[in-house]
Amino acid sequence: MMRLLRIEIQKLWPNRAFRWLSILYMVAMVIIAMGVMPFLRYLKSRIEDFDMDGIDPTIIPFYEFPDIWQNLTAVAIWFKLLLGFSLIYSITNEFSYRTIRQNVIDGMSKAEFVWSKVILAAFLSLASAATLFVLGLITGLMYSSEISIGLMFEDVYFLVAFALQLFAFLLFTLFVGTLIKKAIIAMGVLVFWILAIENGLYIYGQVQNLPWIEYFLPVKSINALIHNPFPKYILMEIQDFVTFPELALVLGWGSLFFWATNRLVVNRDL
Amino acid sequence: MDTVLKINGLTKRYGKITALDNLDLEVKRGNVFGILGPNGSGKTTTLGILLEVINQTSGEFEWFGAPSNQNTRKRIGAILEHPIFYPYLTGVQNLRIVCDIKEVPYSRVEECIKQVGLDERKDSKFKTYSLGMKQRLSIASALLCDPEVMILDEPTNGLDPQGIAEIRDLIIEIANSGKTIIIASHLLDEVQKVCTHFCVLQRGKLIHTGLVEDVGKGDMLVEVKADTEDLQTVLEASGMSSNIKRELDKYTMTMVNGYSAAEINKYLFEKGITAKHLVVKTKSLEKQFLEILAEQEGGKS
Ligand SMILES: Nc1ncnc2c1ncn2[C@@H]1O[C@H](COP(=O)(O)OP(=O)(O)O)[C@@H](O)[C@H]1O
Ligand SMILES: [Mg+2]
Repeated sequence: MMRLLRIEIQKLWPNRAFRWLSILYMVAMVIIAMGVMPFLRYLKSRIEDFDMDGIDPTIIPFYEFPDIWQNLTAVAIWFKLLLGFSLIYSITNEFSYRTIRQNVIDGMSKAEFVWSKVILAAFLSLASAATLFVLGLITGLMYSSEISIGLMFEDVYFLVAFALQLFAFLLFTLFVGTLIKKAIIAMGVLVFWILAIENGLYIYGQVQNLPWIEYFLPVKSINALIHNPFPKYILMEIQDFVTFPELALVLGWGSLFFWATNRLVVNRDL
Repeated sequence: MDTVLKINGLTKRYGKITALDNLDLEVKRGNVFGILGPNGSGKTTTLGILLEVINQTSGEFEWFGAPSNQNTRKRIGAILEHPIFYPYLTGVQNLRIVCDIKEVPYSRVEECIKQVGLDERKDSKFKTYSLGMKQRLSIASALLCDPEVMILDEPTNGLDPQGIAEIRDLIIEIANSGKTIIIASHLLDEVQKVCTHFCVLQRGKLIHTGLVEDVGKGDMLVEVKADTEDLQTVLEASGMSSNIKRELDKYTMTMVNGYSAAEINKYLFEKGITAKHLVVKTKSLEKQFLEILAEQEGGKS
């Protein structure tokens, strides 16, 4: 397994496009994690300009332990597309350069090749979760009003759920990249699928009162693992935990995409 | 001699096209085996199946006496068609990836790069290489695992004459070290110059296998020139040839029954004719190849 990961890193790290996408992603995570408080302060100053006293956005306890974990992961998952693009880029390059063919000739099995990409996806997901963990600790210690070991780690499992969300999503992009083989088209299809098809079907499901449609939309299902926590700040009820059926759904989608990618590669003439 | 590769009834269809039709073949250890055939005859398809990047329609093959898996391929060094590498990586970076795939130590990289004479440019990006350098890098890559078998598909395709000569010398050098080599080529003299054994494919069918050194043993050709009016009749009357062809004043006899130039010379001398030109020609692989193709139905390729 380490061998396959080492191969992937040697392939990718010297690549400029991949490096930029990764750096962009990291910067995005830092900005959203660190940037909420300055943003709230900015809002406050604008509100004061308009002379609307009595509303103070900075009292929104975004960074409060343990809520911080659900808050951060719920926001960070929006940037998964950047990571998805870098994985699509990695897999489609192998097809356009035909290096997948040479890899197999040199002594990888086709299944091993798919594994190496899956391991890369797992590595990127875990690295993201680890980064978010560090960022969460830093900002939490800076802004949280109450700090204790118990509170700090209470809901830290949201990071595990976050890693799993990313991983399942990356398996989806891996499948799309393998199916389409052309970087730009695959990225376009991915965006179109998420924005137009899934949203369209989702809204259709809501309007027609067919809520089960949601479960057949992989990206929506993956997003739904961590519920949006923010309505609670306007005193609405939210789900502040991960449920087992939702977890099983994400695992199911991940396994399906893994299986489908494997089949595509094994049955294809390279 | 033990068998390195055994192919049994291998067939590949692309829709209606039969790229490979029921191929049987055996390659022994130490052979330098040429797969000869015009473009589109199924050479790359065959090698692709043997390396498991193309799924066969039917038939099977064995490497080293056992069904193949990815570990078999770690003992084989192979290049199919064009050299394939990551264009944005340097020669060394590319070969290190191959080392990791083949599970051989990185120390082999420098050795192999030296062996193919690519030392100076080893830290340049692959995309900046000339075709000859790319070809060298792929041979270096094939050598990394100190392979028991090397597979080369049109290794001199697209090179200039000097590049061709250099690559051929490299191949002959590798062959002399005792390695089994399988070369696909549409170039006859390439096969004749480097191979010990060869087979001929035409439209996916195997139409000939044999030893390169036997080529030309079959029929001997003798060219005769002499200043006499009726040379053709005289030569025909000798009964030593099956066929006589005339080009200007030169007559080319296809000899039979083991007759050779000495007997012709004696015969003419006895007839009072002095030959002013008497040359023995062994058939080139090219002639034989064209004949083999012509013998097949239609003979078009
Ligand atoms: N992917 C493919 N789809 C359809 N036909 C193919 C494909 N690859 C090869 N062929 C056909 O198979 C035949 C053999 O091709 P190939 O093995 O590349 O020949 P060679 O290497 O001897 O030049 C050709 O007729 C070619 O057009
Ligand atoms: Mg070919």
